[in-house]
Amino acid sequence: MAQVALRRLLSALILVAVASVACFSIVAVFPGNVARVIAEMRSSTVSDEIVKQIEVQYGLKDPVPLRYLRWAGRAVRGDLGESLRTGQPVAKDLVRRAPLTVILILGGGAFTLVMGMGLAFLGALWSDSVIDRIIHVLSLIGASAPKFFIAALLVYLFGVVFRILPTYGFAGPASWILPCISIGIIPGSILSRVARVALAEEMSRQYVVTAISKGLPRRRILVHDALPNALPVTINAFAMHFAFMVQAALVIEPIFAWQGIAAYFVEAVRFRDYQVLQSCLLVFCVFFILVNLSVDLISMALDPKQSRQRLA
Amino acid sequence: MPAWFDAALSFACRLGWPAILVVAIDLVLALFAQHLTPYSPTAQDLMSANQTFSAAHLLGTDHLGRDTLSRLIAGSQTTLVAVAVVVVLAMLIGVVIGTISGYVGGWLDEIVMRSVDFMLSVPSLIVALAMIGIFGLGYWNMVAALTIAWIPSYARITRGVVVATVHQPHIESLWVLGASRTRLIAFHLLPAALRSILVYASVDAGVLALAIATLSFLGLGIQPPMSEWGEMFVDAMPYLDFSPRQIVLPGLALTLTVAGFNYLGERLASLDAPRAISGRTLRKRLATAQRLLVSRTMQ
Repeated sequence: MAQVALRRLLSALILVAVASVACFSIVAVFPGNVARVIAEMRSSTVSDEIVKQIEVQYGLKDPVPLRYLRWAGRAVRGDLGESLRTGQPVAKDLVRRAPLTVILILGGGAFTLVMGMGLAFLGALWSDSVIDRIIHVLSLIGASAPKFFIAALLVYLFGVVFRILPTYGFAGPASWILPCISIGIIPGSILSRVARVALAEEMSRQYVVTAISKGLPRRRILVHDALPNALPVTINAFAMHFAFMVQAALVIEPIFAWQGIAAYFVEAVRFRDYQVLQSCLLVFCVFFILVNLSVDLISMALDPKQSRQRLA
Repeated sequence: MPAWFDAALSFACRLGWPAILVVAIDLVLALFAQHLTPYSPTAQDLMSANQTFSAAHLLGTDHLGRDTLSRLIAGSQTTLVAVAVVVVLAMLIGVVIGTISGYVGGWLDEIVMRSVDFMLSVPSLIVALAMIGIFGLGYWNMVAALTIAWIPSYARITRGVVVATVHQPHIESLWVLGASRTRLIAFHLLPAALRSILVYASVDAGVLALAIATLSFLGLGIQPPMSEWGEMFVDAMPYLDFSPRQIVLPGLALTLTVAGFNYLGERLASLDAPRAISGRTLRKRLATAQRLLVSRTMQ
């Protein structure tokens, strides 16, 4: 168990290295003269002298592998360079913006999990009830509706019609509720279907028939046997949606005027600030790798079959 | 009734009417947008801004007095054209890469597939955004960025089919009979791959329409004055308080279109592939088969 975990950890580290190469090569394939782009961002008049000066300053004439090593060496020490547009250190900006995105994604993840598992469990408890139909409709909508549409509808409902929740800015837990629901409701509705199907699959297995014939109540079988067996599938599906929440955050953060990392990334794309762009990409890649790693470890710990092997 | 009509009708029934209807309406709107728009989608009329449903403007007007219905119709054209261009480009390049990689195999296959896997592990919208950051804003830059982000999935599917077919007896016997490499690829491997690729593309069209709308929503995709649903949406966001109509209409148009493509693609896939059946269904079928067998032997 520990050996497998160690191997996963090592391969994750290698993946981080690969991801950093990929993020760095964005600058290498940047069309046109990077120095000229930087110079144009600084001032309206660009002379060849300034361009040359910037080339020397940023070391842009050096061979690409050398530049990568220099960049990676500084990145390991927590220095990701300066934003080309504002001149601020990127790492500092990222740290300042991180709490918003972390809260958004963790809150959204929690909402997804509660909504998905809750609906699925209730649906399995009273099978073929209204809840099953709700799950079906929700998963249909969730697969096709754009996230910004759902978010805007929620804003209208809770912010304009009922006027119970703040719809703008980042000020205290009350203002976190709406963004977290907006980001979590679509993956939640899809997850509820996945979990419901997994539970139904488990409840149709023969060990359930045996348990029922021995006189165990259905509810006890559901909680004690079917739920743990359906968990690995659900956790895997959840992890995928959790990782892809970064993509949803790109839309949700601007709607609620949150200055998080996703908004930083969109800004960098708009102004072609490649220094910020590659740093944000690196952060995202590390996040994806971390999520995958922890899911592997969690599902290893959760899977009843594997833990039974450990006992034997 | 000619026979082909019956065949087409039963095919349509199996695909599901609602999806066909939605996609067909979209296509008609997109094809004849110039003739169907009651007003010019870019004509501003500040005197009649922010009007609600009326006889003159069936679906009302936006904050600049532009007719919402006309903009929705023009938006369907913008979206579907962009989707079609990206799907065709990504398909062409992806199929070529996938076929070569699957056919040649070895280290080339290894390198191509590892990089494809890497790109697929990052959400495609983030890849597309990074590409836009490199290329800059603009319609064709957006198309190029989306194409790059969408190539890996097509390459992966093609490669899978090619690897699965290349060692089948009929291909090997063709090879023995002296068929050239080009002939094998063009007449035997590609058609096999095309089937699953077309099915995938129909689901993909919906996802792509969403991605285009999301990019335009962020102001990084289709630029004004062109009409696009995501761009209409972001235009109307400041007026959410008193005129939710302006965000509901493009939102609904987008949702319906995506749902139509998704549903169509799913049905196409289920017509094509052997259905993945649940354990319960499998057991039920086994039981039926067993009962039949028993009743036969009893006779």
